Amino acid sequence: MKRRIFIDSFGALLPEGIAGPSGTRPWDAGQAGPHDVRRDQVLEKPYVNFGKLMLPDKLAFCAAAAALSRYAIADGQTAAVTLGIPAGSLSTDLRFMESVRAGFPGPAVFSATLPSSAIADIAIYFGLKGPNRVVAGNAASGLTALELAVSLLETGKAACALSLSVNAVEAADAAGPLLGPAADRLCRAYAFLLTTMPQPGGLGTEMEASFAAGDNGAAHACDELYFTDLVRLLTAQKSGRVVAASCDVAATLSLLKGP
Amino acid sequence: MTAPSHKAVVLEEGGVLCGLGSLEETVTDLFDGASAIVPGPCFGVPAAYAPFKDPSWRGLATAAETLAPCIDTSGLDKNTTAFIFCAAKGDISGLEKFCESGTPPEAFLPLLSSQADYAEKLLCVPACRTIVISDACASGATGVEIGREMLVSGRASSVVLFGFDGISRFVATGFHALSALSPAGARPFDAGRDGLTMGDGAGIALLTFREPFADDIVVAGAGSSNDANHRTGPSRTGDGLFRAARAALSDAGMQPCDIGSVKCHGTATNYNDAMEAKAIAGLFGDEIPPCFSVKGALGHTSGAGSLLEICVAAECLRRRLVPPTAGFSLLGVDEPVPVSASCQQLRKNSMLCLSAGFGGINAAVVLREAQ
Repeated sequence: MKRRIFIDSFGALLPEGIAGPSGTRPWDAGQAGPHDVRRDQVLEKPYVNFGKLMLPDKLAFCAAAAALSRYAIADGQTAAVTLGIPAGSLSTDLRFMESVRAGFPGPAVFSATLPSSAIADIAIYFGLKGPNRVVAGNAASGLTALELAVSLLETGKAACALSLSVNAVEAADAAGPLLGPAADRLCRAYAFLLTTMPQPGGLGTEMEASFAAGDNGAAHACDELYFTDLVRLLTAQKSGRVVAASCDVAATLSLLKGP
Repeated sequence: MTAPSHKAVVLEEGGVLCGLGSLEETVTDLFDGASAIVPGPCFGVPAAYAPFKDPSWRGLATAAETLAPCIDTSGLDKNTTAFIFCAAKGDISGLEKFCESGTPPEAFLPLLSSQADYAEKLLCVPACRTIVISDACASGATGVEIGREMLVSGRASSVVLFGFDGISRFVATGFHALSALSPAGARPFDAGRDGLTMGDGAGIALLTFREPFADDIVVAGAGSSNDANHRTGPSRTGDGLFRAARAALSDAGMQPCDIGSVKCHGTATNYNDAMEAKAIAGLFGDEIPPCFSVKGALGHTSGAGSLLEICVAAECLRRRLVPPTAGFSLLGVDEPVPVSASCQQLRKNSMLCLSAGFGGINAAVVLREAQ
């Protein structure tokens, strides 16, 4: 029997502010956008590693915190984390190379040069012990991460899954020439908590998703367009449909009314 | 009523490139107890390492072109074939050159997505989509798990996996900064182990979903987990790897007693091997099958390594042999893990392959020879 899947919480760091189930809070004066996010804006208690997080890890962590800080995953549930991160850890790679050239390669920076680094602190802080899938592909990596999260729920390998999409390229980064002409250079991060067992107080918005191979002739619709629409629907608590197509994956996601 | 399906995920063909050479050369040399590890320094770091047998393989392009004939893609349906590229960092030479000269690389950008597109083109894979998986040193095993899910669910009719991770100044200085490297060479599970050894590695595999013939190697199950414990170090209890292995067995519908041998992650760091021994003992109890690690011979070939090692394990399974663990002589973990010290017969038709990576990621794959 096909499992029903619900989006029960979400968080997003957007150019206009921090979005979550209770609405969107604009950035404070002096904050230019997601890369300036502070811990206290997404998490009440201090986290000892927060100040050490490199940009991709910080964005992923804060989006996860916006989704999970007021949401309790039931004890004993296998909770997966999937992440789409198109530019991988390129910003951090360059920081590490700077430290190598300076003669002091930093071990903490090196460990953060893996694209999967961005899930480490999320798993530790929120105790998410299920499978991980890190997609460092094209501009639709987040869509693929969502597809893999749905697959983990449908196969029963996880009872819930936090699906993240992170774009972590700093505008002033020297990475420019390494990104290619079509790269999206704005920082953004989205986190969606998908579950087969919605919790009391959760959104409980049922979703039906279908994924297919993309069309090489399709426009390069990137994660941003898709997830911005999804956040808009979730914030308004409306039913609706989001369609995306890139060269590698096409997705249709329908939001139904809550239970 | 329709007859029940006996389809399985079949590992049709595979190939590797590493310090011991091709898959055939690697497995034969492993059984002979050979090692590809050579003395350092490596990029100025005082550590042994295991470079590709043929230095020309160090480029992603040559490695892909060399591995392309290992799988037959002529019959694949381009509308339903998925290409999964698995790497931790892949070929990062372009990034290093950019940092030295300011000139962007010509062939491909250092992004994994760019490397994947480049490799796919050279391999001539007729794929409808590309998925780039970077789950640290478990990338290849995670790729196999995702491929299995796609085949069983019908989202793909065939899956081509390709992994590449090369030794670089970037990686050598990073692991040295973490004090993770052995000066003389990896000695998995040994009492004298003092760190891992970097290795060059690349692998390719073709998975399909069909009724298997006798002697086919099938990916019977796969599972994964996170320790949720530490950014780089493994859980001291082995709990995460234990859960991944148990999930893989459950996925395969098998019990620990069905497993004939364990291909360990076996990096030869103090903490990894201690953790892994706990996970293995917890899973098998008093009946632990022969366990081996190839990292004392091939080095740690990173994200590509878990795919490469699955291909090697499949070939061992096909030959019904358990290879010796190069570098191992005296057990140095608390649990009575029977680490294979010499070539021995494999007494059952299945093998458990374990992998782990930074970020607390664990992945396990069960291979079985069809009867």
